[in-house]
Amino acid sequence: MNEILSHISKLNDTDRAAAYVADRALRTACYAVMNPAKATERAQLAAALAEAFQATVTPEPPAKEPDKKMEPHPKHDERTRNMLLRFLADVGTQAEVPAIAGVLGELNLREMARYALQAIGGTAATTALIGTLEACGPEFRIGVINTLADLGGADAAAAIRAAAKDADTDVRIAAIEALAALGDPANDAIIAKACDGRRVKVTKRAMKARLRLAANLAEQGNAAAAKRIYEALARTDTPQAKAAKLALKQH
Amino acid sequence: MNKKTPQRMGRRQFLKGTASGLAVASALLSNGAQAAEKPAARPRRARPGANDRVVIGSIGVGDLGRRHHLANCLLPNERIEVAAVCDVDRNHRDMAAQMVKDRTGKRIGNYKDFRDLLDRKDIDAVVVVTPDHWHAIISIAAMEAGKDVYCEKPLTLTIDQGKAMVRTARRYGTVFQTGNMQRSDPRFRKACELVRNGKIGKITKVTTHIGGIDAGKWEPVQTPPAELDWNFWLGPAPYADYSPNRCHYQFRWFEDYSGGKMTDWGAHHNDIAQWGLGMDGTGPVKVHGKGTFHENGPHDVPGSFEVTYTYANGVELICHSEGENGAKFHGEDGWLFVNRSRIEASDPAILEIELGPDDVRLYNTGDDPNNWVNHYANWLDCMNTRERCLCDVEVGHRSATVCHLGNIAIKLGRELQWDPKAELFVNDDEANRMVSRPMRAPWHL
Repeated sequence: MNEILSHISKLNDTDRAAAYVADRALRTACYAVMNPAKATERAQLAAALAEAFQATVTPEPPAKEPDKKMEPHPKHDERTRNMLLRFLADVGTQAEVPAIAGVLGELNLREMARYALQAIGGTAATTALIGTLEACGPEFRIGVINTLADLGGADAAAAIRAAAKDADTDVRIAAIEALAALGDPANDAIIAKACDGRRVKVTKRAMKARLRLAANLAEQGNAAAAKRIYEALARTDTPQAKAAKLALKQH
Repeated sequence: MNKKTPQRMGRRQFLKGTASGLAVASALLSNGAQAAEKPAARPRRARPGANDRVVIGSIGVGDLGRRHHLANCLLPNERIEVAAVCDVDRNHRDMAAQMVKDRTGKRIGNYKDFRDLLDRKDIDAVVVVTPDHWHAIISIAAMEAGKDVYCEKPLTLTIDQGKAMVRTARRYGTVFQTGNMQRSDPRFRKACELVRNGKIGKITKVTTHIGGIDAGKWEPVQTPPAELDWNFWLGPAPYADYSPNRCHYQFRWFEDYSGGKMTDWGAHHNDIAQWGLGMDGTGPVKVHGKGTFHENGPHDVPGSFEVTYTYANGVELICHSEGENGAKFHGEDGWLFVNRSRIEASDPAILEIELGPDDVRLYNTGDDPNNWVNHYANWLDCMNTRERCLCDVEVGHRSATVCHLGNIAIKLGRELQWDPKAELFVNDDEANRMVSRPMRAPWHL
């Protein structure tokens, strides 16, 4: 692992070629353990990466204030930590979720942390992402909603339904599209309501989402629920009407 | 390892669970079109009246989009009216709009944001010639806006993107042409027809040679030029500081935006391999490969490589970065090589064989030596008939998948089992992490 730590220390080298070499070496190390037969090695590497990600250093107090209590700060800079998150998206396991989730509130790390949690998945990742929804701004909320839609699960669905009432229009749209992806007929009422709104930007996206929901339901085998939605969409003057009619022909 | 929480399905789980259902749904929702691998007559070529011209928006008008698609394919075509251009680089879109004005005398729409172009109800169809990491988002948005789509190859950045594109095209009955225009080249069609009809015997192997890349040069991080909206250019890709060699054209050599030569040229010759082998709609079942990466960067895709795929019938496809550019079919009775400048066989007499009435004829889009003329004509014809194009979205998706599988196999350095029906690696969660990528907010499929 010393070699791994050495590479990590060079990820943000001012010599970009040297940084590239370190990045390449770490990527290669990750790929080598992305193997069902190497679960132990993968866990060890992931743990080492997470440890480096969380490592802190406490600076020496100034000479004039030798007793001053100094606060620890991350050992590695944000660029390095972002790259560590990328590696953890490849090899991270449930064991690394707390370390990753711990930076969901950090502006310059949260996006890559979201990617890693999406790749790892599971209840703990879902819970951590839901926990960040209220504290973050609209743009990151949209990203979290997209990830929750990918992960699925009852808790994610409930959080997305709540986000469908968000004060921010773009967040509401993201939530509506996410609800369509979850493929639950109970979500149609929320999406249908958005289709009837006055803001064209919202209704357009909601129409698309409703068609997606119907198609997802049809592909799941819930033909009756799909048909109800298709029939409603077929009566609209939208591109979704054409798609709905096409689907109804097959019913 | 099951990462999912119970009770509700997420996007990914839904895709896994409905792969076979999608195949059925695709068939049910098909617009009556023939599959590309079936022998097919050329669709009727209706000559539209002045009012029947297809109104097109051209999205991505950089070098390829403007100098090739706009200049050679769209503007000279009397069946097309170009109504708008779109690019996140103001210079590109201004030059494109000027080109249209110079050729037609008309001032057209000039957009930075593709969503504004897609909002126009008068636009029937779009041509997407952006960097690869934008293909899926823009194409899906276009289909959902009711437009037909021509999208350049490689169709996707990830395998999951292709699955989403196929689903959307089937839902909307979209006429979709992928820019794998070698299939519209009479020379490539002839090669594949000879192979399909056993004229070189039973096929044992196909080799494709698609070239490698150099290491590239480090350039200093810079402030993006004023004409370029760099953040929009990055879009769904992770944020990166701007340097010119990550952007126009050279994006191909960075894996956040593309897949290197494997997807750039592999999308052409591996596509021909798929066609010649009759593997459209499916793909290999095994893949392993090795590649070398440049020692000091900056390019982070394989510089050279060799990947071996095995299809369910035992035929191997070996894709090399070395060797003369082209595709070579190896049969028990001979071989046949084809590229953009020549076709050659182990016995020249093979090339003189005329197909009989019972022989398989492949989808023929026309005999113009300029393959893009045939390819565009096929797209326009299919818009009239609502039949599927030669390089329908699934053809493009499956050929891109072959390339993505190669890149994944090179990275992981071990043999991978691929299920082309479920479109997942078999019992391999680690490899399956590579079939999709998260997108930077607010973008998603």
